[in-house]
Amino acid sequence: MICSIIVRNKGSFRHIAAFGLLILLIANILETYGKDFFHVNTMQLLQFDRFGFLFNSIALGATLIYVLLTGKEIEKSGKYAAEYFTLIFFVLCGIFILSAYDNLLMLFLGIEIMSIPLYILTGSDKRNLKSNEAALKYFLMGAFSTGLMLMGIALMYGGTGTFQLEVQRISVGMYKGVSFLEITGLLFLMVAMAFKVSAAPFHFWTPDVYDGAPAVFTSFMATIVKAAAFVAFIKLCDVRMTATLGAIDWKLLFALIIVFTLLIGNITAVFQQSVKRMLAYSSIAQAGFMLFALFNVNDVAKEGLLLYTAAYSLATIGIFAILVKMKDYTFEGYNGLAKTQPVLAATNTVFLLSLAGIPLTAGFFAKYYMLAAVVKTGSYIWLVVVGVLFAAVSVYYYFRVIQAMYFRNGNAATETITFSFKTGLIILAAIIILIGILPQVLLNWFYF
Amino acid sequence: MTASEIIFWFLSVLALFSAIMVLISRNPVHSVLWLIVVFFAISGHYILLNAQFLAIVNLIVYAGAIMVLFLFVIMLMNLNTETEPQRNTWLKVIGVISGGLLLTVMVSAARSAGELSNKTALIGAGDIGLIQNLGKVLFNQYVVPFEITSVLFLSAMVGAVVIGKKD
Amino acid sequence: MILVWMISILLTGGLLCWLAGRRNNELVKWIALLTLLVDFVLVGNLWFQHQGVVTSGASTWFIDYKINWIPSFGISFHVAADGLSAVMLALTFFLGILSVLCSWNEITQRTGFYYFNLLWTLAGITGVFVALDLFLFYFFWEVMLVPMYFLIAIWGDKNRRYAAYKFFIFTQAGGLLMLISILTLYFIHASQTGTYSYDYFDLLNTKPEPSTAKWIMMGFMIAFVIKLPVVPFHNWLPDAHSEAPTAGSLILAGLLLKTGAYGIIRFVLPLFPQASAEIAWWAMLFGVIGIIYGAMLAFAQTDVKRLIAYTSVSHMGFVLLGIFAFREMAMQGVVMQMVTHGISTGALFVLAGMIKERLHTRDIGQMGGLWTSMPAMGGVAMVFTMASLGLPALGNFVAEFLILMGTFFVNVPFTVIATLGLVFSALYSLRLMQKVFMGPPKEEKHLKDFSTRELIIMAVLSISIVFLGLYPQPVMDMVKGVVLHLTMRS
Repeated sequence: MICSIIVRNKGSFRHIAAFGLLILLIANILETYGKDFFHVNTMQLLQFDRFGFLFNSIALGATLIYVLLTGKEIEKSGKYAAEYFTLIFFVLCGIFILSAYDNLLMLFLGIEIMSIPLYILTGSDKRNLKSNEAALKYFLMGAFSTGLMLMGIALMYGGTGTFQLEVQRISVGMYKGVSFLEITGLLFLMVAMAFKVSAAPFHFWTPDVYDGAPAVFTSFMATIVKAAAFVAFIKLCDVRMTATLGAIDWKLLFALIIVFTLLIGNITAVFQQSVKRMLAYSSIAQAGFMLFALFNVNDVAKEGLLLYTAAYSLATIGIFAILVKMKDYTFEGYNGLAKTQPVLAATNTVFLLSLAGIPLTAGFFAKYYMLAAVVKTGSYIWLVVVGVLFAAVSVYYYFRVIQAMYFRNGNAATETITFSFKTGLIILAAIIILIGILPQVLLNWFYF
Repeated sequence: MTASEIIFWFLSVLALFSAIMVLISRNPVHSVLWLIVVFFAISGHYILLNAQFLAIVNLIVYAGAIMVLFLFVIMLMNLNTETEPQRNTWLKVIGVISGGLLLTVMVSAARSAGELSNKTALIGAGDIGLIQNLGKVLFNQYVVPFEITSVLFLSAMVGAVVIGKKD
Repeated sequence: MILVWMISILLTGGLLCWLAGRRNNELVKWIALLTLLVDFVLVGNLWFQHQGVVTSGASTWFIDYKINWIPSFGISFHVAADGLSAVMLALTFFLGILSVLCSWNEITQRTGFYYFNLLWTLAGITGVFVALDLFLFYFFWEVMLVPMYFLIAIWGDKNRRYAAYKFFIFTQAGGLLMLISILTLYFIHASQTGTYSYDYFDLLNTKPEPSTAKWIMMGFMIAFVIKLPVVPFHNWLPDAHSEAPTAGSLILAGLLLKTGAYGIIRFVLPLFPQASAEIAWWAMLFGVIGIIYGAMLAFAQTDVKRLIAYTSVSHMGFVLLGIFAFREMAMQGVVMQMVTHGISTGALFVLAGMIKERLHTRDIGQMGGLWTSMPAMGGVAMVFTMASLGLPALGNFVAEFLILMGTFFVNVPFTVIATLGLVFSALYSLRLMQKVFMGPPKEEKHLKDFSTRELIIMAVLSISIVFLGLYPQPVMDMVKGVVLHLTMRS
């Protein structure tokens, strides 16, 4: 039952090729939920529910694709390929904890297990000053946010007397049974989580870290890890924040964060010269969209978040896989890619369109879900309008890449592209389009 | 005033005083030394609360390991008064204002929260902090996080090896 | 089912073109042409089957096809056609064929991809004209944008990237606002009836609060008036039109603008009868402003394509004016205007493209005296500028006359001002004619007159505009049921 243990055992020996199969196997095990392999009594610390399982399969699937597409690059990025894979598996282990935690202690452990390997991966390019700087920055800021998180958890413990996510509340007292300490703790926790999902104004590390880290690892960080942080966040919101709505107006707070995140992410992305940095800012902007799910947690939002993470992760992994192959990460570097590598250009277009949320791609339904989740509440329509306008802005910078590839002349230099890499990209693009046309395929799983 | 109350007040004053000294001493080495005093004072509080384990761990980990690390870093970087970079006064002012605001908000909120008034800590009572009980809880109810922490350490170790190994 | 076929033929045709483009450029053109011809025959067939079926009161839909798409949200693939759709479809495929013909020689690079985009845009437009599920409608609304963006951005003129961006972002923003409105309507419907549905007929019965209805309607309106375009939102149009390749301009002016008008007629009026009646005065005001403003700016242009683009703004003002008059006559005029404007302005753009092919400029100042070297082209151009200024016996006259007649009953001052717009249109049309074709020739260069292909295009266009001017009855009969239905409701 505890998938993390399986992963930990297998993570130590890595057959690069066997990796994919291994993960796929685990994903399938998860898929056949209901089957207990070995039961561990977790003392209500971990709660494996449908939502978590679904997310795990998405994370595993995405990682599988990630490893298949960019496995070679991971090996190339430093001397310790084996260790990098191990670290990635540690991260995954953390992710599984996050998708199943039912206790704030586990939340903390999950976040830490997820983050610490990332600090290392960020700095894995040891001879590159930027990579070192990014790792240090990430580590210091991350440590700080961890401190806040612990402080928050401690306060919440003080307020409710338990680490459990679900709290029995007696509705008496000043704030309808909600302790002042709990609210303060939640606020701290929210800041820490907002840091992890890089929501403004706690996003400052994102561009530097994403830019500094080797592109392969950025890809991993920006997609699967971020998605996991969101899943952890939504679980927190679902239980604790909904329960304390009477005491504090989380919605307004989230609305402000969303607007701020969208604003900063989108506007700054417009002015970037490097595609990698642009993607970093765009990931902030995308985080703004995912925050819509936290704004009002309901079934639509949960389903939507899963769909969004899937769509976003797949597309971003694809874009980064191509980015890694480019010699030059600036927009100019993409000039004329359509002539030199038509397959890469075409698939990249699909990924970018998906991120921009154009119909016929998975990204569209993802955005649709997010908007629907908020519209369903009936209030805060202005927030949706803001979101939509920024979605229109985002089209600008995604299309800049498309433009560079198709409309400008140049010799986009790439490393040698193997046939299997191309096939992988085409399959990925096909998945995205398939979800875009028939979301039903994915949605049918989503009833929990 | 009982003996434990006297000790409590003494320790509190000591902790606050040395915490302030950490901030205002010019020499970073002095700061670190004052910090050690803070930790000792807080450990004293823990003992008052009958939490021996916490008190000892606090001393070993913070006053022992972390402070040594701090001193080590300070010596490596050769920090002293002269090399301390001149900070922007505006930044200082802004920092003070925002920090002060946060403090005000927290304090006023805490004061208005009814549940906190008229509550005092139980001194010398309760056995939750004893090592025996702690061990029982740790290996019964919290065995999962305990085990999972090992993953955390393992990953940190792998990471340290990756970072530390010579290319 | 036939409607599904139409769309899928276009989509597969597009894909075939792309694939064939790798090997053989000639083949691509024929595939594209064939695809559109098949579709045109289909719609013609449809037309003749349902000709003269004007039953008042009964359903005006003659085809209705619905399958589930995403049942969990109540999204279905629901397409249907009534008279209005049929007319628009006919126009779509007609102009589609011409757009293939007129890009026959113009496009030399990446031919396969070009026709792919062209056909997919047309597929999107077709979808918009037949979709009766609001979600599906939005879907097609977006589908027509992306290929159009590529059309402008790859095969356009010097300033193409800027224009393409502007076009895309304007319409995308509008579209997304519409999506919000659709979503709001969807949830209101759900809360009233308990079933989630995007279906047009279901949503027709939704009665949102008047104040909410107004806001929801504004979301739709903004999307449509950006497309139409109405004056404060017309900014993208001159750029997009003038930078697009000839076929692109043809489709933009002839079809994309019509989707805005179609949207208002199909969705805004029936869904929000109350709210639309409330804003009618303002809408008409903007229509009139558009007429005058477009005409004045057209007069001031020195770029042929830009000039024609502004005439579109002016003509679309008539459409808006006519729609919000809520009169049967005016509505008939609107449909006529949509068709005839598509043909006449399309023809003008094609002519401008031909001139550009020969002179390599769009600047009016560098033209002049072209009649001497190209009398046939001059003659045809004469026909269409006359059409554009509303000369009797040509299609546009019928349309504008009907609209003005219709609005006269509703608002006399607006009608008078709008009529003044006709005078302006005479001014700019004649100026265009004079500067380009009359006067002394600028340079002694031998310019080829029409080739056979061009002659065919122009002949077809001229015949159709004259035919519509003399005998508009088929179109009017076709849409009569719809128009009656609409005007009775409101």
